[in-house]
Amino acid sequence: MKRLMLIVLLAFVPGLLSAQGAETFPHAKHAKLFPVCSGCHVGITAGDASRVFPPAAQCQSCHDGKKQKVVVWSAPAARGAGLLTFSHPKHTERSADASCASCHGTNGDRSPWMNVGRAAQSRCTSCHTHQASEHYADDNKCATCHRTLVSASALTDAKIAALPKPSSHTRADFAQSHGAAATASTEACATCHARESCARCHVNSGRSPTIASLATDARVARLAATKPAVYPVPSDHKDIGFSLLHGDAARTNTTRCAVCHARPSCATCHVGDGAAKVIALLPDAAEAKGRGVQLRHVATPLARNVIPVGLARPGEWIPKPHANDTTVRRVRVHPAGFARGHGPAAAAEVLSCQGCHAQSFCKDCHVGEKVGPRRYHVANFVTGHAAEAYGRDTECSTCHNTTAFCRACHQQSGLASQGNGRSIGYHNAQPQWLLEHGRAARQELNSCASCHQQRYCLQCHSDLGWRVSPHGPNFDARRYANRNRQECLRCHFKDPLAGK
Amino acid sequence: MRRHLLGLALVVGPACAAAQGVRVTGVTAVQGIELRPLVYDSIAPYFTVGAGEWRLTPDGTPARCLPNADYCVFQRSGDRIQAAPLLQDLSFSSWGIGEGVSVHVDLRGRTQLTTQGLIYPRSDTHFEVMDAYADVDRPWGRARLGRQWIAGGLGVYNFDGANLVYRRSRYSVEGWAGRALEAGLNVGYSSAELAAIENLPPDQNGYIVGVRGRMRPNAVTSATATYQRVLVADRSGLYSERAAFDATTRAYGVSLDMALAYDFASGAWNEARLRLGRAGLHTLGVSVEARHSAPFFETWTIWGAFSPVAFNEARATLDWRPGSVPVMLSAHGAYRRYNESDAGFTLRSNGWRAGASALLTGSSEFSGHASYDVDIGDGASRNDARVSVRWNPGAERSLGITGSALQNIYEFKIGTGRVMGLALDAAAPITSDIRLMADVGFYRQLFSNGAPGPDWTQRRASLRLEWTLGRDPGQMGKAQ
Repeated sequence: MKRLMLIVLLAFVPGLLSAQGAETFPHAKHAKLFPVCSGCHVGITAGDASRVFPPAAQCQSCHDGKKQKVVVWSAPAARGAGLLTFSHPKHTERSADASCASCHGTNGDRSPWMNVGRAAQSRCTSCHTHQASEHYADDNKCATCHRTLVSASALTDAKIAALPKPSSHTRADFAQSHGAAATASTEACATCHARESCARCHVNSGRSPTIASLATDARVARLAATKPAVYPVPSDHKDIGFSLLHGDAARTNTTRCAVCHARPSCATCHVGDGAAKVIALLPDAAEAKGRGVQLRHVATPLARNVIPVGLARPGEWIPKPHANDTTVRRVRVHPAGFARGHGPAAAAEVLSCQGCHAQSFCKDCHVGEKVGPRRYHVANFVTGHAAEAYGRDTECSTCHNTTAFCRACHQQSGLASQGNGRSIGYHNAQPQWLLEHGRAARQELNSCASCHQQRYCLQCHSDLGWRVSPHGPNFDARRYANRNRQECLRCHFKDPLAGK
Repeated sequence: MRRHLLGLALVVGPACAAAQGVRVTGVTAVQGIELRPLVYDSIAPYFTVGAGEWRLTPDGTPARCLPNADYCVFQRSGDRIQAAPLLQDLSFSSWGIGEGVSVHVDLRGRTQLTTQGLIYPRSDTHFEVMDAYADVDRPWGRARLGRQWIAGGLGVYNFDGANLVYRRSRYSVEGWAGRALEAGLNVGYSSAELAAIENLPPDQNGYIVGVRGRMRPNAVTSATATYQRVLVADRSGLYSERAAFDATTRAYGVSLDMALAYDFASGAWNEARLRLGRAGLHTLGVSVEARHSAPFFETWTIWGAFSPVAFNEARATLDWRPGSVPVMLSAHGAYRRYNESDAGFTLRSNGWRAGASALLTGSSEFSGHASYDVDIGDGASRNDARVSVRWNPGAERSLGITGSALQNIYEFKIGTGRVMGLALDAAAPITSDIRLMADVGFYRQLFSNGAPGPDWTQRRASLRLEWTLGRDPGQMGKAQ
């Protein structure tokens, strides 16, 4: 606490000591002495900067230590060019009847003599009628009274940083909508902004005529360097399918993309030749002025997978340069659950898989052994894989050779049949299994084959066995035989279709 | 083996020497696996409960007592057996050999560090060439020669041969032919590997030939038609003859995916899937899917003649990603019904599944995931709940913990039980090109209703080292 107070004191005391009062000359106390303003400020109406304030000797004519106490006063240094472009000579010329008090009087012309202060902004607008009621409204013509920030050389960095923010700039959609207003009236922007203000965010600021019409300013550049770029997400980008659909929008209006994105954004996903012509229209990293949106490719969460180890790939977790930084975005090309249903999309090739993925990427899963960095199944999937295999939510044989992979393990774990139909084993909870197994086999034959070899079934379903036909009522023997007639002889002693 | 290595050396050596760039990636993975297999045991009939052929042991295990037998037989979990399979993958890519010319080779080595009774599947296949091909890619098309595989609506087929793609505007035609390999095995049909596990293996190799046409009339619409045969080597028949049609499009914010796969031998549609998705509601994604699924068997097996029946399934999914909160919620539900099997006794002929999950990515360092799934059907059912938390203190660095509770319910056998699990995983870079990942899990099986079964109580662990040599050819999404 003490340390905090000390810091506060250190910060404020020098400021207070060096501060100059807003009213250094007590005009009201001298009301009876000066009949006209021009007695002291003759240079104002004449446009003579050296005579805007009276010389110190003029004060000393009274404040000589005898008539009045001695005062030390000196004319303030010339302010230099501020934001205001007000000209006293021009205004006094055009309004001959305008008195100083009409603007500087605390109550206009009705003010008591020498009760003066800074001219109120309302005095300007009483003549220079605003289209809008608010001083900082977007449609006001700032240049009437203000010069551009770049030409306001007297403004310090701190003063520029403290310039008031128009209410329109705080609107939620301002970042997305300010472009039109800026194009319509760049002059208004130039009152408070320089080119660096725009280049802070606009990647393509070097190509924008609107931005190029603003002059550069070292003070603004310094200030911009300390502020993070802000990239609110456009509403259409929030669409879950945007990553798949953005191509048309990009082709139609690449300039819009280039506001926030440089080519590296696209290269996050577009690694092939696809969209190369459109991407080439964007600024490259060297040309990009603003920081730009930094896209990071994120692996798509699997349908029902715990966050896999493999998700934590390069670019997945990115430290942000600022707490509220909006430049770094994670982008998922594929929707959640894509791994389960990617077959049709991959087969139809609506997106070119090979544009981003090598074949080895597919092999991580489709070769069916857990070697690659990605993991399709959840940890300990093997414990509960039976329901998955029976239900065929995804087809095991797409990745595994079910004959070798499944049966080898089932045999070693004691699950696969190792004897004949009278042995006790997997189906021990079904005393009537012999009668029931037909339906189970028809429904889940691939699961049967993950344990049983073919000869096991031929014990009954062949000419060598009990000659129980396994064929269903709709079995088309001729169709089958036309493909592989030799296969019929696995079960039949002689060709059952011979002569038919 | 020597022939393989020599062939590879002849391909890879000159390719590497002449290439502008070479990239070699390796993944070394070691697993520790435990298992308690079911073993046969016997018990004197007078210790059993009940009468007749089917009885129970005192602890409730079904036992079979054949008439006039001196003892009854039952199964119990045997001693713990272990295996530590070691897999080594090596991938070579070299490019810039000529205009659009590149060479790719993926090798896999397998062995077991220890074998205490358990042999991990295929661990005795010590060396495997998964693919090795030269690729010429030009704007007009692509040619590929060597061991490769083709993926599409018919699944994944690997073969030794040639593949040619000819592109013209929005259309392309692709053809391939060569010696067919057993899916997922990278060996010929008549190989000893298949014979070791199947007592009626095919006695001849096969040759694959296929053609695929693709059209993409606009940016969001594409369709592919595929026809493929696997011929018996002596051309006496076909191991398979199939066709597929896949299409996807989008209109009015609705995506449509369609997949059809037809087997000419059985005359069955192995897969017919129509999926409608609406992902344009800003934060809400909805999809509905109708699916017809029947298993496919090549004609070298007898299974296709057993008239397997299909099921029809309806499925709906819902994904919600509110813009204001870094959460992604998902839910899905599906119901399936099997066609009439005409096979006597009635078993369950329908099934359903449902699930929900939440993914929380609130912080760049912490994320959480929770899910619950239930799958009720014939053969086996399960309930599965999982919760995990992950800490990612930096790129490529992560630490995660996962708790799981699983219930297995088997229709065709006894052994209902729950498996409670706790797993830890971690990943850390050693250098910019070397990364180490490890996970360890502890699982405990709790039997319910006094029903014993195979005891899954065990520890599992894996360790994986990934490394890369050479520069990235620029394809960030590709495996690195």
